[in-house]
Amino acid sequence: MPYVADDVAESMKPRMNENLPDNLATSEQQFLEVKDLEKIHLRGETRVPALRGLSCSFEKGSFNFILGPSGSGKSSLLYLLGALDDPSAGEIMFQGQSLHSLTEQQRDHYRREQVGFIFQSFNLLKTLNAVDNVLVPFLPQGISVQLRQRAVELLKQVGLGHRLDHHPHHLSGGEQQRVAIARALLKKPELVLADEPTGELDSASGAEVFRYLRQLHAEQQTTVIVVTHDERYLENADRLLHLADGRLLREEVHQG
Amino acid sequence: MLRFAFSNLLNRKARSTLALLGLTVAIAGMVGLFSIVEGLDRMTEDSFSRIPGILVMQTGAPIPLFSRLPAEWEEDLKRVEGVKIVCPEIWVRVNVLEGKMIINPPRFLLGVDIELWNALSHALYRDDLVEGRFLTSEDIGTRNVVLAKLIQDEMQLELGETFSINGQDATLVGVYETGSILIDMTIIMDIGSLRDQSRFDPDVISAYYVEAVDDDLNDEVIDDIRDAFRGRQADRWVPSSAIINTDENPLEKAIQGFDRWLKSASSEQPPSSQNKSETSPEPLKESSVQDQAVSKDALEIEERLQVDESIPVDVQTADAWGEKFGDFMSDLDFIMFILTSIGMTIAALGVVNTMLMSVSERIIEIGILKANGWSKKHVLSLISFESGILGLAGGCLGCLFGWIATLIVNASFPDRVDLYASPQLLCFSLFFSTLLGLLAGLYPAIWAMRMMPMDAIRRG
Repeated sequence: MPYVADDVAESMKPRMNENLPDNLATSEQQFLEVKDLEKIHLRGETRVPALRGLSCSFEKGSFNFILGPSGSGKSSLLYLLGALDDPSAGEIMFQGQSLHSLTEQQRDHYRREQVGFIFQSFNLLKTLNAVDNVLVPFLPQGISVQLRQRAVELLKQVGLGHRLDHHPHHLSGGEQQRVAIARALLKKPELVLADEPTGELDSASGAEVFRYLRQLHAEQQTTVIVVTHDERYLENADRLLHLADGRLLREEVHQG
Repeated sequence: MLRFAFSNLLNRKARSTLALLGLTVAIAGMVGLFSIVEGLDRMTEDSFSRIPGILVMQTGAPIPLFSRLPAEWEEDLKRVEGVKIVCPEIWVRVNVLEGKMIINPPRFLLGVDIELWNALSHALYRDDLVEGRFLTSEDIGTRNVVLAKLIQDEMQLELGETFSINGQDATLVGVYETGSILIDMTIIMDIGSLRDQSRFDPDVISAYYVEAVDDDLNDEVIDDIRDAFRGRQADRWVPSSAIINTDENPLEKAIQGFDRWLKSASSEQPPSSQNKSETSPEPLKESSVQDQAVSKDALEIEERLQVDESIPVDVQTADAWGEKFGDFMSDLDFIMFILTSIGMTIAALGVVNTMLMSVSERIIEIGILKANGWSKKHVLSLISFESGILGLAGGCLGCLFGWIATLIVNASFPDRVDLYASPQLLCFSLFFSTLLGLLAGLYPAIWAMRMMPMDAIRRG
């Protein structure tokens, strides 16, 4: 099921290369590389290590799961990959460019144009309807007719064509998460980061969310990284990273 | 973005309404308070601009009611070049009207020389007659009066009806209306009759109204009158009855003459001090050098309030006298400013509180926005839009309610107040309210702007 307005969206989307240094987008390099990453959270005066020298990499267009018990550092890794937080040590290279070295403006641009986030608790804005929630990343720039049309198409693709003008409190959990998926994919991101996307959903809704996520991944060839406890949604050829105590235990390719 | 800001405000109805209410009340209060000042300014200006002639009062007297001048100076005034008519006036306060004590608003009795008043080219009251007739020579020696329509309505009087003023009967023959509550508080009657009624000494009058040959010559005539009276002292006042009933003692007369000579000698200023008084701005210039902080306006007011004691009369056009009167109200401006500042501070704290609460409630939202690529500037803009909308809406409502309130108050108390909310005042209030809203939202906006996306999401 191809996108109706893919070419339009592509032409509207400012490329990261325009805003980032020249060496960022060299296709020869790893798509996403994590080197000796450390993250220490401060709880008052107590230092709580979340990641302890973790290294790994992600290939372009892959579907990845980060698995591990609570406190293993899964979410911390995900937020660092999305430049939502700063590492205590180590670095993350996105298409050869260290995220840590990006200016604030470049980070904003990275989050707006390159990365789509899907959170466990959906995190929709309750004052906006489904379409406007999908358009949130682009509200400050102003919404063109084409962009709005693309948001509507995405919502239709995730089965919410009849819920376009509904506000979050009128949507079920599964529907809200599908709006969040549409929001993450509107920008045709290079990378989708999902933090426990089915954590607050029943099995049926969870399965539905993953069905749409995989469908859009297949269409857009987006790199997807999902943090989860739930292994029911793993499929053949998915790449799995097992974390424990802030370290990478093992990497594997799932064999269904 | 603007639509998003609107929907955020609408989504928190109670909080937004309370902030809006706080601003509306403060701005309405501001409009109301300053409309008092503007109303007084306008009333003063309107009232005194209706009087084209020159007022001659006792030096330092704030209004003719408190002025006392010798009646004999009428002849001296007539001799001043350029003077066409000199009308003596007697002003007396009305204490009791138809058995009712008059405190506020005050009413005044004005005694005029009817023939002279009718000879004026432009005569207040006479030219504003709306019912009946003005006083004529037939009314000399009678207690026929002309009064304001406002008083007529209040007293429910008919033409020809007799009523009591300060315990004495008077008959209504005419009604005037100028529309100014500063003027429409006067009852006019024959000067002689008023003297008798109020036991006003025949040798004394309150003030003179002088009409120049040409209105354009007013300034020259004022200077000539000042020159003519410079250094002159009013004779020591002795009640006429006392003069009539007492045989003059030659020794006492000699002492009084010596006393007058001494006073007149002492009133002749030495050249240096005379120069000083003639050019009254001089000392002000010196003081302005000493105190740079004194504003130009303050100096102008100070200058107008300077009294040249070498001249026993205060001679000014009614217009200029109106400005002087307005200066007495500068304290009122200051009080209004303080009251408004208090109201504004409370309103500003209300908006800060609203926006701060709103931001702290939406920490996750702000984190989500930043996670979706919103920059600090975008977050700052959103919060500022919200507080700006509150300020603008509060300003609109405040101006509207304030303006309506002035209309209601004016209609309810037509003889007591004349509030005026000018377009300039309304525009300023609107601008001020919007600015206040923006500034009050700035702190919460900066606070929200500085949060890291994950800090916001975790804190939420």
